[in-house]
Amino acid sequence: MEELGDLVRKHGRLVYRIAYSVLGNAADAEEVTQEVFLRAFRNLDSLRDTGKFRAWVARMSWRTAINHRRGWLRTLRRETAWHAISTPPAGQTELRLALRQQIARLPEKLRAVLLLSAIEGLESPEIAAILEIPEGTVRSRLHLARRQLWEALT
Amino acid sequence: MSSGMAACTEYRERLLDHVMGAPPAAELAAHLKSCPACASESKRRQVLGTELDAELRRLANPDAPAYLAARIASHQRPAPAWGARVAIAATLLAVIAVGAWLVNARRESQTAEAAAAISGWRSPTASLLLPPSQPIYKESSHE
Repeated sequence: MEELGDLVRKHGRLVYRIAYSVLGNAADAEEVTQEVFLRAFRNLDSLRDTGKFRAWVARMSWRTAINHRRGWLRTLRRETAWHAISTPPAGQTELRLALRQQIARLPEKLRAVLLLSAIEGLESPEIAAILEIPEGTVRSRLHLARRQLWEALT
Repeated sequence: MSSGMAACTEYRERLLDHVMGAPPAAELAAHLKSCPACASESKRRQVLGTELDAELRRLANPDAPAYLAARIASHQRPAPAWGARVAIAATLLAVIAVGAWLVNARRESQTAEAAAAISGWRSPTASLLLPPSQPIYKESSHE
């Protein structure tokens, strides 16, 4: 059985990015990443096929991040995170600000697929498993999300 | 001229699919070849689309802070192995058994003390019930 440190090294980036795609800020994404790995490690015995750890932990990241977002304070922080156009970090380009603004305006279902599909190494079948929707739905939502985004920005 | 402008407007609406990666339809491709304004607009949108894709990837792929892995590993509390679990359970049982035995022994001791106290107890007025022939007080022998 692998050590927790090894699992974090292998899958930490993915878990963090999934959490970030839901929460939109680093502090909450870190908190969720820690929670996911500690929970996963405690329940490792219940995972019959250890080869499916990546899919298992990716799904857990999504769910944990969604639960994490439910608190009103966190919702407020999320809103200010994705809508943070009034106080942009130094060096942020106009395009980046416009993109953030338009992503924030997308319906939740479209935004989720758009951001998950932009995560390196995450393919449609994995996104479908994370969101528990058919792969075809992932593709159609992605197309719609991109179209709405591009229409607004180009 | 006006029909040409109308055609350009129509073609520019179709440009979106092209920007999103679909190859231009033959009719659109032909128009782009003959219309420098639309060709320029197509080029501009493709560049913007590429920038947007890159920006989206940047936005969706933040790097987790370096300290996070170490922080998570420091919270590691591995579940005890089966041997350790059995030992913990046995210790708990032993503690419970000893505790129960101590409580029981204390209770028995208290019961015995109470029984002894009751059996040795004499009513202060019991002497009044003695027959007259029996002296209530022992006669003093110091005279």
